[in-house]
Amino acid sequence: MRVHRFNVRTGAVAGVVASLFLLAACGGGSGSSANGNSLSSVTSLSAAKLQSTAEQEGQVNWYTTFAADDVNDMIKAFNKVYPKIKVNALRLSADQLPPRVITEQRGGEFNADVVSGDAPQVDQLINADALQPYCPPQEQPLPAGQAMPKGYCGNVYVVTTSIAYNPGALQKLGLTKPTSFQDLTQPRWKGNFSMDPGAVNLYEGLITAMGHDKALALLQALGRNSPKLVTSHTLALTQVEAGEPAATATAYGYKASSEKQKNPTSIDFVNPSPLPTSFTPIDVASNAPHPAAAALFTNWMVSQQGQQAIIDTTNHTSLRTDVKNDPTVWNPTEWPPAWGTGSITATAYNQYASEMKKALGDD
Amino acid sequence: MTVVTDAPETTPSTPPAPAPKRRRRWRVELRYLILAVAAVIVAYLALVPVGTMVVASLQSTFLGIGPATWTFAHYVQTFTSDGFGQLVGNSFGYAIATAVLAIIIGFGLAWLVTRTNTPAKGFARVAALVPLIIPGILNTVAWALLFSPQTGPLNGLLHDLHLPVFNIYSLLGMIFVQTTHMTPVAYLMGVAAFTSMDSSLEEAALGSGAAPLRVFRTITLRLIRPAILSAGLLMFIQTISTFEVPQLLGVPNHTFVFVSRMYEAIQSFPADYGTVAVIGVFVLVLAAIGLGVSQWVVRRSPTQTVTGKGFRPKITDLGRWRWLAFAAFVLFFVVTVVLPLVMLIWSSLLPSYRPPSWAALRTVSFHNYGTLFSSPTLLDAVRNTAITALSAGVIVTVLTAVVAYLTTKTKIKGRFLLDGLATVPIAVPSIVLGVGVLYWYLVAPLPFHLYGTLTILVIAFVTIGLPYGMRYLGPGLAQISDELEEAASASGAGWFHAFRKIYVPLLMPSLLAAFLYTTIVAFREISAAIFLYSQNTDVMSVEIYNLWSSGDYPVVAALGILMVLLLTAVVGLVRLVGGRVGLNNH
Repeated sequence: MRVHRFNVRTGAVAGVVASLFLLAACGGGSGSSANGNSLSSVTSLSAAKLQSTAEQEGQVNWYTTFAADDVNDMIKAFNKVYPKIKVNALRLSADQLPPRVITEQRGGEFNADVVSGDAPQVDQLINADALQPYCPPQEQPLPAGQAMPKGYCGNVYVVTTSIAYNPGALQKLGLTKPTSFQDLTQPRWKGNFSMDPGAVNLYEGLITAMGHDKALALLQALGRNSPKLVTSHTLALTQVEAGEPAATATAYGYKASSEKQKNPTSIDFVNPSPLPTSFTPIDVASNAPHPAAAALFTNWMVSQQGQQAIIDTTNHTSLRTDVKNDPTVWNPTEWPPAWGTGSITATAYNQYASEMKKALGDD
Repeated sequence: MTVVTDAPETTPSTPPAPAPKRRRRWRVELRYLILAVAAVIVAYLALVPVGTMVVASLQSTFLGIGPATWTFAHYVQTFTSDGFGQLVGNSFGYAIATAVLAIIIGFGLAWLVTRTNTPAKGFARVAALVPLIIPGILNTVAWALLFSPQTGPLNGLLHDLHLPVFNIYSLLGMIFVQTTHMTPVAYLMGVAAFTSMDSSLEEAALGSGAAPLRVFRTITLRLIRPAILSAGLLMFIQTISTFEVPQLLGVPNHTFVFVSRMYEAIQSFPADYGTVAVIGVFVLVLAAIGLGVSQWVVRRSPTQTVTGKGFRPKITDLGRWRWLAFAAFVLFFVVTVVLPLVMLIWSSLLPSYRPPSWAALRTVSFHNYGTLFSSPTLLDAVRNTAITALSAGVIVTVLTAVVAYLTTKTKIKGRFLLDGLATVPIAVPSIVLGVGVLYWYLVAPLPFHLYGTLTILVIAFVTIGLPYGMRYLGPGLAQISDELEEAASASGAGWFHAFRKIYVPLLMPSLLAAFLYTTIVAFREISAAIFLYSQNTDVMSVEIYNLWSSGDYPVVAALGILMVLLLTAVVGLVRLVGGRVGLNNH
């Protein structure tokens, strides 16, 4: 009898301990485990050897700003080629990306392998030594006059900022379709459009197009017209599609175009000229726990095959010349791009972010 | 340790049967070991996030590069920053107005159920409690769609009636939605207060010819005042720490409160840990002061509402007005359950969100539900939510049962301190707790890594659930006479055996109620989870927020409906089991 009671107790204690270990195991936490590899040790490997090393690592942790509904399709496309590598994606908005990676790394948790996001935010990660230099073999050169920070070459796509509107909502409000950001500063647009106050890439494009002071004055004029503040470009677009507000000044062209194809009566868009355009770099994180898988994933993303998969899945714009982009989104002849810088200092970024938030009333 | 030197007072009426000395000592040691472990765990859970937050607020750089120095600079910067006064004003206005409204409605409904002859009380009870099953973030999403200024169907109705539209993206909108979240909790506390209140004073006053309104004002309200104060404070703290309403409804219209400012500070680059910590400590101090004042007032209150004499609360005959009372419950049910759920179901059936119309009706399908079941990410979120919420429910129930035993059934020194520690998390806004837990497990030199695991989420959920577990199990244990344990001890049963064979069966209704409530709290929790999830540990509430932020309303709605169904299943299952042990009485 005594033995029986002892067993019950022992079993209960063992059960609790086992449960805690099981929970600790659930959901990974693999980021901190060292496997002996480093990025520098895998970059010299042949393609076949890199793949086999990556398959031994078995997984890659990808922190990304890809739209939530595109992430799974991108993983499926990658796994068609590399089925033995599990992709764990953490989808974050552009402004969530830097603090997340920095907070983890400062706390000694090196969890991310690959980071892809808007250029200004990724630049901040580079400035904070949170990413390591890496040039994928199949990376295409950037347009003339554009440059990424030295040693950091991966660019997964470019994004353009368009003005999207709901034709039905415009008709209801007696508004005509906007053709430029300046149109939205008119009194008739007061409260009838939205903006993402974290869209530093838009601000950078405007600065390139018209200079800092005029760009800031434009943002302030937009801010005085009481834009509805949204936390992401995709949310802004969906709200316009649902009829409220009538327009948004921060719609990504690729998304507006694909939504227009699905729902032409509820969404349309115009590309301002010049067109605010920015890079979306892809880089390997410092102390990436799965460096070979990280390199392999990055290589595939910028390859012709990967870029075509991105276009087919998401309608994003590629800089590669051997793939076909959406002509309503990307036509540099008709809408010359106003490039955001490929490299921005932390001071300049903070200044731009602060100015933009203040101008739009988000502070 | 003091904990293991003071034995509980036991006065067995008959001498205990002699047990072998070594075996008895082993049992005693096991008992104290279990109690000590529980006490240490509770102290650790309660103090770690608070301590980490205080340290972060006083360090020049936290999680930064280079050496940190101790400083008050963050306090000075935050308190003197532009807009801090408005932030305090918004936060207090929002939390106080919500607390007042929730108390008025919740206690009003509780009074109707417990003290009047309002018809269909079974429905009334269900109507007041069902909203608890709908997670706050879903309710917020639903109301954002219902009252969307130009396309919301309810605003369309107001427009058709030539009434001004209601802007849900405003402080008033935030107060309205948060009140619908808080009222069921206020109702529960009101029912407890009215049920245990002796009505003889009211009867005497009425018998002496006092007008009913005067009796209500001068007697009922005074008797119920401590309960109102406690409930009001709880509503205030919960409102000030809730993430989803200010983030979804306040931020779009530039209305910031503490929680949304903290979230913004931690998302800025570089993350402004100092501001996060200072606001966290500020809110914590306010909540602690409020809690202390509330307990002081309650203790000093001369009104003893429960006496040793048996009583039945007097039932007021409402006459024809009782149908108006019934209508109040119907209205409450429609507003807090029917409208949000109908909106969610409607949205979940559309390919992309459109306001209700005949044209949109032709596009409905179950495609979004198919998306849920074909998305590994969403299915993982469902699995993670089930694991973390149920684990938190079990751990809180076991832990608080032991702690409640310690505080109610022993005379061990320091038991009141332990009781206080278990209550501390109620004064810690969830967002503060989430950030505190995150910081601690990033900076603490621990031999294991919890960041990025489900365990860190369970730790946060357990900490949040501790006060609620105590709320159920403390009174439950107090009701069980000590004689039963004494008799068991006299018969030679060990403490663990007695606890398992006597307390657990008698306490089963309270244990199930504690498990159910803490599981629901964990299911709904987002404020802490938003800081602690990682790529493989996403939970449903966070996934809903992220999908909402991406504008994916229809999938949000489908996931929300799935979440409500899961919670309903958990509640149904527990009630089925609990029906056999008297859970319905709790």
